[in-house]
Amino acid sequence: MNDFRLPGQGNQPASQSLGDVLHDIRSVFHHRHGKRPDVGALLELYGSITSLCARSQRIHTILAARSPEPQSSGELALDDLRPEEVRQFDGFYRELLEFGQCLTEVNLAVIDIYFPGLRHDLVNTTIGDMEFSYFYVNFLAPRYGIADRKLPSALAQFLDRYSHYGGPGNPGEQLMQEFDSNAKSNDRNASFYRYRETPTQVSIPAMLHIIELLEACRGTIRSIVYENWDFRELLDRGSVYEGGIYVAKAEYNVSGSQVGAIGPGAHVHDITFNQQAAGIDAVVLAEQLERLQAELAKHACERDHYVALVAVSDAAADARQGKTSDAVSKLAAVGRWVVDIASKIGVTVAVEAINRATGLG
Amino acid sequence: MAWRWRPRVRSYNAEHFHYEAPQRHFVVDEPQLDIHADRPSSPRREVKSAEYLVALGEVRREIARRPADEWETGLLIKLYARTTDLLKNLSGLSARERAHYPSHLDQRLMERIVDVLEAMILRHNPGAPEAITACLKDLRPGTATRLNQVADSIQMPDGSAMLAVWLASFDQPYHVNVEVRDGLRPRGRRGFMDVCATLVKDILAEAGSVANEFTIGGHPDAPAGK
Repeated sequence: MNDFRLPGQGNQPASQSLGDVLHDIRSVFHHRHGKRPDVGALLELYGSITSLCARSQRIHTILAARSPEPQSSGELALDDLRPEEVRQFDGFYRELLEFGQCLTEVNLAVIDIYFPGLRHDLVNTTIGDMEFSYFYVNFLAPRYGIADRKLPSALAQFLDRYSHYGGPGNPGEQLMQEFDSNAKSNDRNASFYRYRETPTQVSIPAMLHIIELLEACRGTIRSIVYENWDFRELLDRGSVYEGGIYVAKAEYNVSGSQVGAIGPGAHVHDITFNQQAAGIDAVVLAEQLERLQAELAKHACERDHYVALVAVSDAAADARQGKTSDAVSKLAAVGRWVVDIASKIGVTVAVEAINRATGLG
Repeated sequence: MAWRWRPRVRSYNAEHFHYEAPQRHFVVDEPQLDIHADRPSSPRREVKSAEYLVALGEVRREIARRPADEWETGLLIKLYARTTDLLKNLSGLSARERAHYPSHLDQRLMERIVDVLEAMILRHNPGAPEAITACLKDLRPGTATRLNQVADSIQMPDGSAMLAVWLASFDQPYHVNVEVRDGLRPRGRRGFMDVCATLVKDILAEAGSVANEFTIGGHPDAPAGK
């Protein structure tokens, strides 16, 4: 494959094009509000930049500690750092590469909105191992009418991955190349990033600039997310999916159990269900619930099974801490399926606890 | 996170092994029938897809003990994004379409779960991922034994499923796909995703003030002090 240059357009460094790309994304999401195109990809990008910025703050601290005036110092070799500091750089690199992947996903969503069908063709061309430059100039550009026009930044950034064979594959790798001191030296060929190596010597000013840029990106991405997603289901959690995890059904058949409050909006304070757990040994209960949990995991295949399995796991954790009453109350979410399996494997104390919690016995 | 960096079986003499949760050890696949195969040579896999949900339950308890920091919040948001997206896509499909929904998307969900588990394990064992990765640089016979020495030193106060699922992600060769693992039926798959999404929402909603700042922060209905 030959190096690919966008006809009539210069390839910008990633740090310069990032702002334009995010502007494109914001604009597209704004005009498609209501249809929410690929909001999952956008949220993933938000999660990625959040983790990345947390890492970059740690890197900033390391850089600042190495030099009182980091702007004035030149380069930093990772060999001179302590192991825990190298670990921070390693984490930062990984997050940066993942950020690049997430941004590419969102870029592809945006490309699909600008030019319906182009995303599919680009992906097929890439995985088809075709001569991209030839295919783009002779087929894709004429088909989508993009031969003689200025391309949206999202598309230009995506196409930039084809500009160097074996070079940076996503914007994260491009950013990494910008602060890698050895990126342009003779001992670092174009295949460097292809094999997932990472910089061992960095330019401190360039890295600080990238960190600053990432902080600004986080603010922009956060704004785009809030314009398209309100996280309301986190406020209302438990109401979207019937019953949530702890309560399997929205109807309440109480028999042989103790109940302090029941039904939507019911509240109760400062009561303890000691009687319910009386006579149950916490250590034995914990051991039996762990056995039961392992057995349930082998057979679970429906939603109710998974809910019951998580409830048994929570109950086992409480029992391990000696909180027998809490353990028994968690078991109220399990059903006949669990009792049958518990009886089959002979965990009698667990069966007794379930019976007391559910009244199934 | 570390996913794309996981070593994969490349050479002919690489050892095939898997993590067996009940024994809490890596076990060499017996028999290693086809060393060139990229599918597991042993059909037995002791870590079931349901274990991922138990592990998420353990994450919920771990986060309740110690709120998520900014880095962990990012990982949780990524997991939330993946579950939200998958559930949205699956909800619009018929049972038949669901059965044919691309299963590699499940795989990405599982990878996100393992990323979160790794963050929880890092809280108690800062050097664990590096130690494991160092063992995997060379997959000669004996790798499972070396891994077991490292695995024995990893301690989690409450997180046996967390540890099992995370360690099983180093199986060689590795297949995270729930369908490959358990042959989930369409009904089970929807139920799995449903419970997974609910757990992830629970975790993120209760992940503490830092997580709230990045999610419901500024929301007019957000309760004070959240």
